[in-house]
Parts: sequence; structure tokens; C-alpha cells
Amino acid sequence: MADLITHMATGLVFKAGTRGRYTAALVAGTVLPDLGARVPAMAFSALAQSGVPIAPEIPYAFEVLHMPVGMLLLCLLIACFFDPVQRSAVFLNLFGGCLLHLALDLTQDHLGVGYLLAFPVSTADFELGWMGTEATVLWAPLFAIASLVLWRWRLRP
Amino acid sequence: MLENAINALLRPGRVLWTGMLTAILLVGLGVRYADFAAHQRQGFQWCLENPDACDGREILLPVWDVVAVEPDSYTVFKVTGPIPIAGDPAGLTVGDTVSIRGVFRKEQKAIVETHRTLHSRRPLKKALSGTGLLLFFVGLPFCLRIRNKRLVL
Repeated sequence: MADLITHMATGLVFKAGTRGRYTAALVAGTVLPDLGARVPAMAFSALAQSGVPIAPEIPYAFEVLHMPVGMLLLCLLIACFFDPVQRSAVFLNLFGGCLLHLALDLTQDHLGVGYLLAFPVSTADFELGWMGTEATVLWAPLFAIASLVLWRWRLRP
Repeated sequence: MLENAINALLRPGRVLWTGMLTAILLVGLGVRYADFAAHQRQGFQWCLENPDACDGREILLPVWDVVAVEPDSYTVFKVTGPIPIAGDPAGLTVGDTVSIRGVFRKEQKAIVETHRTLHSRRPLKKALSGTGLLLFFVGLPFCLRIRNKRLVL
């Protein structure tokens, strides 16, 4: 995974490019995969390292939220809680944000151990491996500011 | 066509069923993957249980945390573990993050390291991700409202 600041900034750049509405939903979508899959995994990992017996199945179960089918189901579930007028737009923007997140993550190199894009249909994994897992961190703050300025400028009346 | 299908799934008379079915499918997907990851994937744990079949097999451990350092080996952990790594731990300290390419050896019940990458910028990445998460939760109440028991952007 790239860092969350970079993920959120890509969402802003996308909205600046399309001048579309529901920026908050798309940016939230760029956060959801890590919030749903990585944060619980890190929490359970910390607990397990401190000696708490954690069945490995528990943290593994959350990892589906970083896969396309899991993302789709999660976004659909979240959209159900919204006002009927906004539901489909919220779903499409959340899911778009999740796909943007995955697209950025796919560019990283994890020794060839990629992401399961077609689970549960296939267990084949894929990654492009174009850059290291920390390649974005040095320019992330600058990219975040630039994306915010670009988004505000493009969406001005 | 996609939007019509989504509208049909999320229309007021159907949304409760859609929500319940989605939640059930999500749990089912999680259970299916957990079973696959814990019992079917042929990683280090599988190698310990099948040492003859696994001896000499290449094992890849991308982005694991170092949790212990010994004079001629070290131990890593990520979600599961700990996994012993036979290799020179020079330059490693507990808390470092590494990616390891290695080979399982049944005599050692460990992975013999053939290549290691130290992720020296990992703490910075964690700090950025933590900041992103904080921004997300701080921004959430400013973007979301509740109207007629429904969320509104």
C-alpha cells in the first residue's frame, strides 16, 4: 500500500480532472481499503506480538476489503445507509475511490507477491512492481498540497 | 445499465434486503479467504507441517517487521509468526521492516535468507498514513449529516 496521504491526494486530482461532485465520497473510497483491511491487521498483529492469542483467520478475514469483490460489497453496504437520492452516487464514488487505491497499490513491488484481484474466482495474484513500497513518501506532502490547490482551483465557480 | 442496476438494488423498498445480503456475502467472503490464507496457502507454516515436501522451496516475505535479533539469525512477524530467518542480522534492529527472499530448510526449521531489503522509510510512511487516517476521521463529521435517519453528504 502507498501511504494514505498519497491515496487521498490521487482522489482529489481525479475530482479536479473530472470536476465531478461527491469529492468526499471518492476520497473516503481511497481510504476504505486500508481502513478496512490494513488497520485491523496491524492492530491484531500488535496484539499477537504482545502475547495475546489471536487466531490468524481473524486478521486474514479483513483482507478481503482490499480486494475488488470485497470493496464492491463494502461500498454497497455503506451506500445502503445513505439518503435514497444519494445512494447510487455515493456507491459509485466510494467504489471508484477504492479502485483508484488499488490501481496505485498495484504499481508497487512486493517481491512479486501481488494482490488477489479476482478472489474468490481465482487465487492468482498480480502486481506491476514499478516502484518500491515507500517510493511515494518523500513527495507525498507536496503532492497533497498541490492536489488540494488544483482541486480548489478547478472547482471554483 | 450499471447505474440502473445499482439504482434497482438500492431503491427504498429493496435496500434492507440488499444491505443484509451484502453483509452476509461480505462475511462469507472473509471466511472463505481466511480459510484459504491460513490453511491452503503454502507458506512458512505449511512448510513446518510438510518439511520434506517444502525443503529448498523459495519463500517470499514482503514487508515484515523484525521482532528479535540474535547473533546469527533474526525473527520477523506480520499478522502471523514469528518466523525465524537464518541470515546475518548486521544492521538490523528490532522494529525495522524488511522484505526477504529466502529458502526453507527443514534441518533448521527456518528460512535461509538469500536476499533482504531494508525498508528504512517505513516509519515515515506509517506517520503519513496515520496523518491521513486522522484527517479522514476529523473530516468525516464535517462532510456527513444525518437527515430522516439517513446519512447525507
